[in-house]
Amino acid sequence: MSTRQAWLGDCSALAVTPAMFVPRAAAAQAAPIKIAAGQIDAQAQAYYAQDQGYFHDRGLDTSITTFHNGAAGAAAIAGGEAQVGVSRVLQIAQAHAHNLPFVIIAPGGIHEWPYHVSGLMVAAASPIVSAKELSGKIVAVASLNGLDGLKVRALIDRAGGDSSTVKFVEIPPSATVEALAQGRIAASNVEDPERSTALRSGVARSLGDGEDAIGVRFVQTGWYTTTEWLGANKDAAASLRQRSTRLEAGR
Amino acid sequence: MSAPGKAALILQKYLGVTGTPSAQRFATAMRAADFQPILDAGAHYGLIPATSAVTLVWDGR
Repeated sequence: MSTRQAWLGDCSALAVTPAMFVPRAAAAQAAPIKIAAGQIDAQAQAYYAQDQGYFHDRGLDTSITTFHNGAAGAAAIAGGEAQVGVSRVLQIAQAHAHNLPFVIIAPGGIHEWPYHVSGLMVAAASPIVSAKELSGKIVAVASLNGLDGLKVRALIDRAGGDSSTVKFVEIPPSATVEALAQGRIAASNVEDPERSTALRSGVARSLGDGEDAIGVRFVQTGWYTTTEWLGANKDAAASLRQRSTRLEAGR
Repeated sequence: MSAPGKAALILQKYLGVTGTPSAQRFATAMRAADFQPILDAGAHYGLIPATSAVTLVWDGR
């Protein structure tokens, strides 16, 4: 693992400098809370809660800024441009391992078997019927070092294959089904809505959901902030936690 | 989401995306143990060092 600056340097075009990590206790006391959220379903909780007034009901002055990837959101939080973010737990842990002072204040999306929103897909005409047959094959993921790559590895290994022999390639989610149909890849992790669309159209089938290989139940995304902001805003953090975990039950 | 139609309208409003949202579910309680499986898997495959969820999750105090 390298330094936090090196990790963030890989993240985005945002100019992150060490000066951004100086204490901002005074700024953290300000009432407005800018939430950095992404565009995947497991982060959509932020939009639902904001739209339904779940935070404003508690007197929280929240607004959402959308980032195209979690790393850019993390850079914004580390730099003080946003106070709270919603990101994949794995990505938060990777940032934490690079000495970014992040702490998870609330859970977000959760995987609970037998509910699936992703699958390791092969073309409908593929002779492959088990993930273990993917040893040595070309498999696409959206992010090799993210949750995508992790769950594909876990599924292949649990099925009796050897993920260390797989040739992983990174392909944008929108292009994976076409790559499967063209035979350029043997399999790909596909998320909803592309997964459901591919299954309905019959162009691809699923070998299983790699998230089941990680656990029957685990939190995929979390709400996080810096230890500094949390230290100065525990009441606000508690309200965010309380309201975000009410979202599913409140509908 | 338990109200996918309503959720779809919200995502269209904020993200400009159309279509029915997935069957994504959201946690209804904060349990550090629920974070551990992904941390263990990430450590197993060398993506993160071994990490206890309690070091990453706020205990509410």
